[in-house]
Amino acid sequence: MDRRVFLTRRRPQSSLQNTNKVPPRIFGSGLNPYTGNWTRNEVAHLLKRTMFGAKKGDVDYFLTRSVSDAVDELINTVPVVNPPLREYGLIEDEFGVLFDDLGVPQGQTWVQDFNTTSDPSVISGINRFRGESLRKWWAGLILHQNRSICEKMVLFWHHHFSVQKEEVENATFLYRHHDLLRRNALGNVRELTKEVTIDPAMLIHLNGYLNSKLAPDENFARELQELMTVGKGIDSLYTENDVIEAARVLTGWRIDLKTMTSFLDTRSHDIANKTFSAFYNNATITGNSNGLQEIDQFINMIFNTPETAKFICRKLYKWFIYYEIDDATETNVIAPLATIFINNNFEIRPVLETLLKSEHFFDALNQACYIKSPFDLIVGTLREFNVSLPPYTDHATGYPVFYSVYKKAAEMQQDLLQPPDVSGWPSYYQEPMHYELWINSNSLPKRADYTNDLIKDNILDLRMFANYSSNPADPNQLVEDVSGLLFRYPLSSASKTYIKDKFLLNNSGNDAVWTNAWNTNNASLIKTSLDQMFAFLMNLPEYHLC
Amino acid sequence: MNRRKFLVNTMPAAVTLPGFLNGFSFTAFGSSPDDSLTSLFEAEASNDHILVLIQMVGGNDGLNMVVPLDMYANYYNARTNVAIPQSKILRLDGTDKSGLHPAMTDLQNMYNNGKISIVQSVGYENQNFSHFKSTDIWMSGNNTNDRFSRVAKTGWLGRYIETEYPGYPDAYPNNDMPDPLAIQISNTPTVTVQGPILSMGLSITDPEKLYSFVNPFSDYPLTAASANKELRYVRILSEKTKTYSDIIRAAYRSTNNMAAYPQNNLAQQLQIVARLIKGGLKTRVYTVSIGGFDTHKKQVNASDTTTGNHAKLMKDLSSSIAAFQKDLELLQLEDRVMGMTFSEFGRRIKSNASMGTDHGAAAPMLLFGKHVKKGILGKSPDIPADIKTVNNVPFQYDFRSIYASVLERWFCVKQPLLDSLLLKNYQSLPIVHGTPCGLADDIADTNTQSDNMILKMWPNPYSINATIQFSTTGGFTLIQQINALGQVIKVITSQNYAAGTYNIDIYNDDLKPGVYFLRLQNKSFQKVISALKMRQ
Repeated sequence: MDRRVFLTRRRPQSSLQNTNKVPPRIFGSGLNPYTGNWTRNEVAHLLKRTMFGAKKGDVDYFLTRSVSDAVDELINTVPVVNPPLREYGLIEDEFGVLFDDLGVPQGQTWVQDFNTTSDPSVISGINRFRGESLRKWWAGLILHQNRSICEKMVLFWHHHFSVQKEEVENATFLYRHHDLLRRNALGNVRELTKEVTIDPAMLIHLNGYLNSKLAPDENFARELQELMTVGKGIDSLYTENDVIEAARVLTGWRIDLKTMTSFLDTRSHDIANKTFSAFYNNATITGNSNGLQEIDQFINMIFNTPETAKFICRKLYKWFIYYEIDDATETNVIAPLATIFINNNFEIRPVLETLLKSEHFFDALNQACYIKSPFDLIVGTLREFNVSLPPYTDHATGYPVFYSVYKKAAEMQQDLLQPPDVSGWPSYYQEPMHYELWINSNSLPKRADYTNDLIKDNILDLRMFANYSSNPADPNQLVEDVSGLLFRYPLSSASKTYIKDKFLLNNSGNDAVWTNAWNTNNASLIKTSLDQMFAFLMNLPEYHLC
Repeated sequence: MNRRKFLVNTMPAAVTLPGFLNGFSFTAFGSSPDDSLTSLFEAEASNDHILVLIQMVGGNDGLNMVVPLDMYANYYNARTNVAIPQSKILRLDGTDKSGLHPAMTDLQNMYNNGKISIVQSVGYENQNFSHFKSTDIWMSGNNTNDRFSRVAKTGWLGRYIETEYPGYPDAYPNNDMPDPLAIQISNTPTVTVQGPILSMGLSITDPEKLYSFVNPFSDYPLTAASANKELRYVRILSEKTKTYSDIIRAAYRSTNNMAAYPQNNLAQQLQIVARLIKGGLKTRVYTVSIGGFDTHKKQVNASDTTTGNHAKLMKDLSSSIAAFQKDLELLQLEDRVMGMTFSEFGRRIKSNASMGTDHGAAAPMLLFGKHVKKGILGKSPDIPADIKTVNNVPFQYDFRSIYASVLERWFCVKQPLLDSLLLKNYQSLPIVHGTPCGLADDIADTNTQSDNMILKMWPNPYSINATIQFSTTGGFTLIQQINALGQVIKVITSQNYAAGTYNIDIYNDDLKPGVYFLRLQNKSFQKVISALKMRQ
């Protein structure tokens, strides 16, 4: 179907009969700056994609600015954050004896302490607790995000350079890895890639620390090319020999446990020359004992192929816009975006700026088609309902709440610091379903239980939300406004009538039933009605789209 | 639509198959059977067989699972730090060529009781060493590089189920098929049961889960292309989940396991499967998985290579399958169920310095059940004495030949449907007893006949010219040249021959010097020899 036809026929009342014929997506829009309407709809679209949920206050705030200013503010706001804190108490050894973490008192950060002073029997237990506190802290930061794209980008880089807590184990390495991503979340991708290559967490996760000239370990060399840089698109023609040669470049990197940093062990490093295929212009990397120099040349060589910029742009596209990249999108969006990326020396900001200000981003076809990730759903709901939470620096009362948040997300298959494997979350790469993988017969019930429980446990202030309506006493207006705020996809008028009658009018068909209840402040009736209506709305398929 | 209606509707269109390949017309390769389309569909109607697929995630080290006793010296030399000591390898009745990992005593017993079939060196041409791509290839059955191909995005069992139960999701559940078409014990669906539109499978982790979500409207606007696609997806998914969860819960609660299972995750999954089958579900395909096979490091303990991470996995795999089989026997389900393991690749022959092994190529597959044929199909992999990092196990059998044989001999799928499901013709191998679908041949016979095939090359080593001699029993005959990494780099011949012995001359061979293999395939027979290319 032509996009213009879609725009002029906004709400047809057809029924869902022929599920076999999904209309193809047709794009004409490219990277020209968007100059169309700037209403709640467009602001909410921008915020739901670049943050977790769109708070009404934030939507109001950006409505008074231009598209360009809004995007600039989102990509230029980089908050300074305080490190994670010890919130855990004593640690039990395997015989049930309790020991303290002697390296750090409660309420202080453990990131400078290498966990060497406590009783040896609880060192690994302390590591686990610290790893937990890191995840709680991170979930806290996501919950307390500023008006910034930063947290979505940090999570993107975690998807991109995915390391797993169960592999890395050591909390200091995990924190430093996370901090590396956070510091560079909106920076230079090539330089970040170089740092990640010799980052202790990555060296452990993909066995780089075991890679030696006598027995090269190809794990990182392979995943770096396949998943983090040139990818496996049809034009990505690196060879099996390129993997073998790359592994040789990376031989000898080891970790100094005294400083918790990586270094090159020249005895294990292969100092012979490494030669690459025609895909890399038959490049030779001159072997020497300065491993950093080799890595510099090697990563530069990889970024010098046009495929790297394209591959990373495709990944960003799938993260922020949609998962289908057809030929038109490849030509009109990915290719020019990759050129911008290259021309800006692999700085990420110009890429994000162009993409998020583009006609393509605001194209009606690209709205409401994103299935919420678990964090979009969990954190988005809490933020949109303005649920008041302790600050992320509050280890005593905040961390337990943040724990429940990351735990819920993990149950729904988005586990911080434990993505399914080195390729990150399949929702952003697995053909053909992509986002749809977030929702299946196993996870959908968990998502429904989550919003039900928030209402049942009175965590959401539904009256406050109802008051966002221009006239909450009018049941028609209330359903209209509330569903407009919750959904990015319009309900049909028949559905709205059904909802109004069933939950606000007690099946009476009489609008006055609700108006009277609201105007006389009939608290119990209002609560019951709103509880049921919101639970119902948040159980609808529409609630999972943004 | 029910199946009979579907059959009536499609019969007149006898030239192309119905829409399960989304407009891809099928091409039958190789021998053309007598069956008409009519008989092919009729034959399927009464089969109630079930396949349980066990995915070993991460790339299983096949060489340490089925250890080549007849290559032991080279095996030991290639991977001394992870090699299983010869005396610890579990022996199998009737063979001294291969044995099992010492942790697999349960499977050893099952083998000796005739309930295990082992296929050696299963892989495919142009081995992809990426976990993700190779998993996709194994699950889809397609290793062409066409990322835009729609077939590439469907699963081999998804396509099969689609032909058995056309019109999913709209027409289901119905009287003919009141139960889920496939069940995956997993958090997320996998490509294996991916159909052209939706996954044909239901993912569950808790068969007793109750559902609260709502889905009352059918008046969704249909025109917003992409949003609509996702909205429709969520809606269908929630509808099917609600409907099928009641069915699954009822089946699960109606019965209980009878065998004792070990305490591990795979066993828990198989326990659910056994109960659901006993509970009466007509579901044909179940998938379960066991992770942790990406053993780049610490695959074994340095102090004792029969222990460590891989040993634990072998133990879990072996004890879980045995408990499941015992349960099926006690529940009187043995006649209806067979199982099969797979992994995205084997591991490198030469071990690394991290007490582990890197990504490799071909590896053995295990089939289990009352109706599989006891035996080891194929030979031990050829392990060079002068081992190099790049050396891989070349494949003897294409994994799709195993799929083809299971579909043909367990689900009674006939030609030409069989070829179209797997996108090409593959060998039919004697891994399931003939009785269910009426094909009688056996492993020992096949191995003997394979041995008797002629495949020679002279000179060998060669420089630029050589002659290859081979025999064929007639029909489709294939000779591939495979490099040290296990990838097919040349097809010497691929055509129909009359029975006999033939020579093919090679002139001005342009390959780089190195170790190669020649692989001959004809019907269920195959033979692999090495061919060394010298510098000129």
